[in-house]
Order: sequence, then structure tokens, then C-alpha cells
Amino acid sequence: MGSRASTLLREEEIEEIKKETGFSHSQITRLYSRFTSLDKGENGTLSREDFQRIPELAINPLGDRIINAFFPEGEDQVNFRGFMRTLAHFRPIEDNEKNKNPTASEPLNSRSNKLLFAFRLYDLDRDDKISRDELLQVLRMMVGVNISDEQLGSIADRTIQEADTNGDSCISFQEFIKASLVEKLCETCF
Amino acid sequence: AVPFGLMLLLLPVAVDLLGTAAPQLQGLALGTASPVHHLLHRGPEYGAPGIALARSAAEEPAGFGGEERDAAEHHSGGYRVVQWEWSYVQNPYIIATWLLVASLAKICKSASGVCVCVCVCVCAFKKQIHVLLSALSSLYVHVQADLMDFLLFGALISAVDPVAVLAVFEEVHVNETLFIIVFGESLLNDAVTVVLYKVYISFVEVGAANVQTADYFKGVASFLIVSIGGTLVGLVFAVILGFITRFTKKVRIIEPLFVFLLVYLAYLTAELFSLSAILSMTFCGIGANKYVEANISQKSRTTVKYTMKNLASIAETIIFIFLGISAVDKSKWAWDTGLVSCTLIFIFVFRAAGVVGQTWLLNRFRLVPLDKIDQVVMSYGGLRGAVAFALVVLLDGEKVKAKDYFVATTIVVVFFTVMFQGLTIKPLVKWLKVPRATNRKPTINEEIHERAFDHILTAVEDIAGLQGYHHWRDKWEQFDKNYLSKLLLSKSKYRRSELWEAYQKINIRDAISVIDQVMKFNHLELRPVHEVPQSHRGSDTKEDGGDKPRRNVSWQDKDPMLFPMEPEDTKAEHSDPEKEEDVGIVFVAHKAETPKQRPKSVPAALDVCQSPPAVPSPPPSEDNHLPWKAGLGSPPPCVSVEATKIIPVDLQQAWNQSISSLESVSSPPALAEPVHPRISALSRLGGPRPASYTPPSSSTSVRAPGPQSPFCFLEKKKEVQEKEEEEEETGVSQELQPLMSNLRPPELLPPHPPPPPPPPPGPGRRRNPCVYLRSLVTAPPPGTSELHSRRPTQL
Repeated sequence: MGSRASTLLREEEIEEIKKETGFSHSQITRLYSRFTSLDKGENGTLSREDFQRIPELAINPLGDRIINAFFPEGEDQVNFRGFMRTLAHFRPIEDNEKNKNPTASEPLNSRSNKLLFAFRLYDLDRDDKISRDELLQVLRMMVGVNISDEQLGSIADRTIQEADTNGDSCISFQEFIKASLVEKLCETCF
Repeated sequence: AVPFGLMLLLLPVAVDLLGTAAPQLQGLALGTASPVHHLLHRGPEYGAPGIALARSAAEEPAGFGGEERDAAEHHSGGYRVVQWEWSYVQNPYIIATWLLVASLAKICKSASGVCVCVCVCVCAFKKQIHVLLSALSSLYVHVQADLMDFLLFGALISAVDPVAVLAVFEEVHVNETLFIIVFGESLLNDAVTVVLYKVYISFVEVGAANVQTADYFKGVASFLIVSIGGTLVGLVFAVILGFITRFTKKVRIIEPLFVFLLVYLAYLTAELFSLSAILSMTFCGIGANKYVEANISQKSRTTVKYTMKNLASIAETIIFIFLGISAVDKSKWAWDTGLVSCTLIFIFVFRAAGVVGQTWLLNRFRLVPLDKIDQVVMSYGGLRGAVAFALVVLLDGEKVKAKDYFVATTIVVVFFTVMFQGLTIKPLVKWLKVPRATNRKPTINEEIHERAFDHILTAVEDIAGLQGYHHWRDKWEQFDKNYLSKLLLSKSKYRRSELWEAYQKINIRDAISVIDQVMKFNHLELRPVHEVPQSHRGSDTKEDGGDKPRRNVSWQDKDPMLFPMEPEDTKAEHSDPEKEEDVGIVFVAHKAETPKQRPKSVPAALDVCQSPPAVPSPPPSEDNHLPWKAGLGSPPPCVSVEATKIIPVDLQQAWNQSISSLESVSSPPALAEPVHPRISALSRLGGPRPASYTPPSSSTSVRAPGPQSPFCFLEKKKEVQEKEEEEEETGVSQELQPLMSNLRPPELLPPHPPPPPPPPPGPGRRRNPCVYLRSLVTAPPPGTSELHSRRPTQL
């Protein structure tokens, strides 16, 4: 499987992905073999079902949302580029990268992009605000069945209250940055 | 603390000046210094009747001095009504008096009160380098010893002592990572100490010439066995302990006994198999912590914590007295300048070298590398202590000819590291600007997002097929949730949700701060009302009047409307024992008799639970923090929006008074406006309520407040109910005190009035909300201390 994968991925593609995402060559090839192993239909793209086949994702409370994050707006398939683009959010932050290329756009794994990724997981309707309902949904997913709706509501209310500085009883992205534990998200996977 | 240790060490010098029988006292202390392992089994070999009393001339009159061997003088005819039973009580008397003297010195000497701890740390790699080079130093010393002896000496002198490390670093408050590294090193190197010491002892006994290669391999193998075996023994006992505490609901009073016994058995069992006893105890504690803490009651937690602290303090004191006495007893040691000076230099140099080398290696795998400052602190923080001394004293003088030299050197090393390094580490840390421990106020946002981020990172790792840190941690948590917790946690605790617990804790902290401020402002005091709770059936209590609410640690036992999913078996657990446990004190807000009195604070009131509190006033400087005291024109931003959720309605009388008193002050209209809508809403609520509130419902959930509806409330329970119960208010109030002092500055409660969302529909109970604030001031898990600084310092 490994050798077949590397022949399908052309060198120039690897270079492009490297430039876009910052992954190293070996990381890209490794992730490509992972991609193909997930791709049961062998059509070069992943669908939602392919993700859902991963057993650990099934028990992850935020699994569905993260799967959705891979798929661009309205689409049902994601190709390898998109796959890598999303995963690139979780690379370690390298501050010197920014210094080298100040004119380039912000790298995918910058602090604010990471936070934006997390923010979008909460904010389903993409209105750049986390409303109480959206927060409730996330809480319900994370907490399971042990807490009643009322209690969850109180937690949600308190959360919004703590974070909300402009009084619209929603959490905007700026408020989200201030309220959450940024260092935690900067833990990386790669 | 270090000056205190200094004093302790020098105390026996004073003793010596009295010309008393120091060796015998030393023997007595040796016999009683049982916490030092290895010594445990020696027993009081020197303890003998008729030991001369040694008293420092400063503290004790010379009345008792020199009294010996008078046991025989009791039989001078007839029956004596009162007899002088000195010999009978002699030993414990002496010990207790010494301890008392030393502890009194603590009061005088240092506010932080942590005794100087003697560290014994053994780090294998560092040790070996040091060991070899100390062997080389034999070229420069005139001590009769060969390589094996020096290896043995090196083995015991390079051990860093956890007790000293703990004490010093606790005072210094370095950041968590650094503390964990150094303290963890000192704990874990016990295994290495045990192994190396025993190995080298056996080599020495056999003679250097007879050591074969196989023996070296056996040494390595024995290290693995000792450390891993010790860990396993500890974990086995941890499982047993967790399992037992699952069923101790009905015998709450002896829960601490289980904890102590099982941990002690873990220690002894490891000793039985000559495995590493300290590792066993450590891992027993680590493993059992989560389950035991959840299962046992608040009172038991407090008991265990403070008992252990006391025992530790006693042990430290004894060790230091012992050390000091030994220093003075010249018969036991012999001085060699070369050995002493070389040792002092080498231990420092080679510890530094070892730290640097290993950090270089570790940094290749670490996400956050250890920088130079960390390394400096790590090498400087290697304090030697009592275990090194104990080990050297236990050497066999016949086999190791140079024992006396070693003893002297060890004493000097210990004195030097403890005094010099211990005293100077704090300025060093300040000078190097080492990052200190952070005291972050917990917020519900952080709790939620931290959990969410964990899930996100785990999912990403799974998608990418990596098996990284999050993957394994998640796997462990799944295993724990599905098997371990089911086995070791009692059913009611198993269903608790961590997020809910965290949320309640945060609310309680806010509630306490609100009450504190309100109380202070209104010159009210909280007085406890002692009522025995009556057990009541089922979950159908009304909120108004009726019985006392159930006071359970678990939120489960509340209104069934909230939890329609409650399964039957937890209902079965709502029997009386569950209800009667963890009952709290009802507080009643009274106007203080003398309004001129300075405001009382809640923790002060808690200090005396049984009587009207003769409370000490909070320091006057705190008044400046209260905004409404600062200036008349300022609004009463005494509560933040968060806190207003949880103002107990029974304090609305207080609110009414405060608001009316504000309005009666010079500029009424201006003051009225900034009043928070909720405050004014509260003041509009109901008429006069009795000062003592009727025990209302059991609602523990915190609801979102509406503009016109009452506030949300929490239950507050103190964990002492019966009068027979012992005094653990001090413990609880101590725990509350830091909380209060943490929350006192109102800049932590910035006022801002966003309109709250409409509250969820609820039953009529909200008209008469419950008024008890539950103090879920639990003993913090390792990782948080009373001050909510995340340090694993409290044992």
C-alpha cells in the first residue's frame, strides 16, 4: 500500500503541499498513505462515511463536528489537499516562519488560525458568534447524559456571561480568544 | 524555615555544652526516628532507662537535668498517695518535650513554618559519575578506603532528599514543571538508592577482589526489579484501597483509618520483599488518589490531609534533632579535610554536569524544552539530607574502615546543602527570574474549552493515524471510565459529571466572596445554627418550609424532575446514611450587636462554630478594597454579574439595608441608578423575612436569573454536624480562608450588567430559593493546593 501511494502522489504536488502547509516530505507521504487507507472507495477523495469508519472518532464527543471541519462549505468530498490543509492547523507553531516571509499570508498553524478552527467547531452557522444554543449543543455533546438540560443551561449561561464583554450574549471570536486557554490548543499533534 | 532548621541543628550544641549524655539521647532519637526507612527496623537500640535529660539551658530550667536512675527510690515504705513515676514516663516525656520545643521554635522563627527537610536524592547517572570521581578523590585523602568503599559512599551521598526539596521548593513557589521535575526526581530515586546501597554493601562485604561480572549484571537487574516491583506493589494497594473506600458509606468515621493502614501496608509489603518502599507508597497514593478522594467524605479528606501533615512535621523535627545531636557527638566521626572538601566540590560539580547532560538528552523529546534557568534551579535544588545520614550511620564499622570519616563528611554535606543552598535558593530564584507558580482563578470557560480542545486534538490524532500523547491519554481515560471507575468508584460518584462539579465549585467561590462582601458591608455576622437534620424520604420535598434539604455531596439526590433519567439503583442509595453524611452548618445572618464593630468576615465566623464568634476583624487595609467604602459617590459594584446569580435570598434583608443605607447617604439619586438591575430587583422582592431562614428546598442547580425573578442559589454545607464531631472547622475554615482571601479584592469581580437571558422555566420553588451554600471546598487533588496554585505540594 505504501509504495502504491507514493507513486500516486506526484513530486510537484508534494512540493505544493509542503509550501502551503509546512509539513515535511516524510510527513506528507505518511499522511498520504493514511489518506489512502481511509479512502475505501479509492477515488482519491474522502467522504464523511470514510471518516466515520475510524473507531475512535465514534466515541469522541466532537467527532462529527471535526469531520465536518474537513469538508468545505457544502461539499461532501475532500481531496488530499483539503485533508492536509485542515491537518496543517495542528502543526507546532513556528514563530520564525513568520519572520522569514512577512509578505506571505499567515500560516495555517498560526495561533489565531488554530483558534479560528476551534471557534468554527462551536459556531455551526458561521455567523462568527457562538450563541447560547450553539454552546448548549456542544456542551450536550461533551457532557453526555449525566446532566439535565437545566443544569446545562446554567453552565451555558455562565459561560457566556464570563466571556461576553460587549453584552450581546454571544461569544465573538475576540471574546473567545480571551476566555479560552490558548496554550492548551497550542498543544500539537505533529 | 531554613533558619529554623539551623536552630534545630544547633540546639544540640547547646545541649552538649551542658555536658549531658548526648549519645544516649541520640540513641533515643535514633530509635524514634522511625520514618527514616531502614531505621525502622533497628528499633531503639540505645534507648535505655535512666537516660539523662538533655535540655537546652535557654528553654528549660535545670530542674530536671541530670536526674537519672531514681527509679528505685519509690519503695521507701508504706503506700504513697502520690508518686514520682519518672522512669515510667521518661521516654515519651522527653520525646514530646523535644518536639514541643522544636515546634514552638517554629512559631517564633518562620511564618511559613515548613520545617527544613532533609533531602535524599539518588539519581543513578549522576551518582555514578560522582561515585567514580569520588573514588578518584581517594588519591588526595588520607582515608583508609578502597574503591568499593568510595562507591558505597558515593551511592549514599548523592541521594537528593524529597523532604528537603519539598520544603524548599514549597517556600520558593517555582512553576509547576520545575517543581515536578525536582520533586519527582527525589521521590523516584529511592529505588536507586536502595539498590545501589545494597549492592555496594554486599560488594564491600564480599571484598572488592571477589566481585564478579555477573554481580554487576545482577545489580542492574535488581534495580529494575526493585523499582518496578515497588511500583506494582503500590498500585496493587491502590486498587485495594479504592475498592474498599467504595463501600465505606456507612462507616465514614473510619475512612481515614483505611487510608493510613493501606498505605502503610503498601510500605511494609515493599519492605518485606526488599523492594523500594518509597516508590510503593508514592504510587499507591498516585493511583488511589482519584478514587479515594471521590469516595470518602469531606471530613475524612481533611482528616487524612492534616494528620499526614502533622506526622510529617514530627518526623522532620526528629530527624533534624537527630542530625544535630550526631554532629555534636564527637565519638562517632573523624575529620578529614581532603575528603570533606572534595566531596563538597564534587557533589555540586557533578550534579550540575549530570543535569546539563540529561537535559540535553531530554530536550530532544520535549515539546517545551528546559532552558538554562531551569537547569540551574534543578542542579541547585539537590539538597542532601537525613536519609544519606541514616545510611551512613548504618554502615558496618568493621567492614567499612573509613566509616567515621564518611559520617563526618556526610554531616558536613548535609549541613552545607541544607543551610547554604536552602537559604540561598530563594534569592537565587528571584535573581534568575524563574517563572513562578500561577494562581489562576478558574473560569468555566477554561474548563469547557480545555475539554473541547482535548477532544479536538484526540480526534485529529485519530484521523491522522498518529498515536500521540492525546491518543494514549484518551485511551487511558476510556479504560478508566469503563473499567476502573466502575470498579473503584461508588455508584453515586461514578455518575458525577466533572464539568458540573467544576461549575459548582466556581459558583461557590463566587458565592462565598459575595457573602463576604455583603457581610462586611452590613456589619453582619454569620452565626451557625445547629440543627440536626432529619432524614426524609424520597425526593419529593417541597422547597418551602418542610424538611431540611438533603445534604449530599452528590447532586443526584435532588428533585427527580431534574433527573428523569435516574436509574433505580441510585434511588435506592438515597437512604438515610447517604443523607445524613456530609451535613453542614446552617448559617444565620444576624445584625451584629454593636454596629460599630468592624465587619466580620465569613472565615472568621467559621473559626468558632460553637459559640458566638469573637471574631478577629479583617485587616483594615481590606476596607480600602471595597469600592463603596472608598468614596460616597461610587456605586456599589459589590457584585459582579456572575456573582449575582448566586446571592442567597435570605440576604436580601441585608441588601435592603445596604441599599437603603446607600440611599440615605448624601446623593441618593445618583447612587440609585448604578445599582445593578438585579440588586434592585432583589430589593423589590418580598417583604420581611425572618432572620433565620426556614430550610427550604433542595435545589442545588444554579439557574440563570431573570430580571424579576429571584436569584439562583446554591447549597452550602459545612461538613461538621454533630457536636460530638471533632473540630475540623479550623481545617475547613483554613481552606476557606485562602479562598476568601483570594477572592477578596473586588477587582476580580468587575461589575458589568448585561441583561441575562430569560431563565428556563422552572417550578415554583424559585420563589423561595434555598439558601444554603454548599462548601465544596474539597481537599484539592494533587495538582491544586488550597490556594489553587497548581502545585503538588500538599501531601
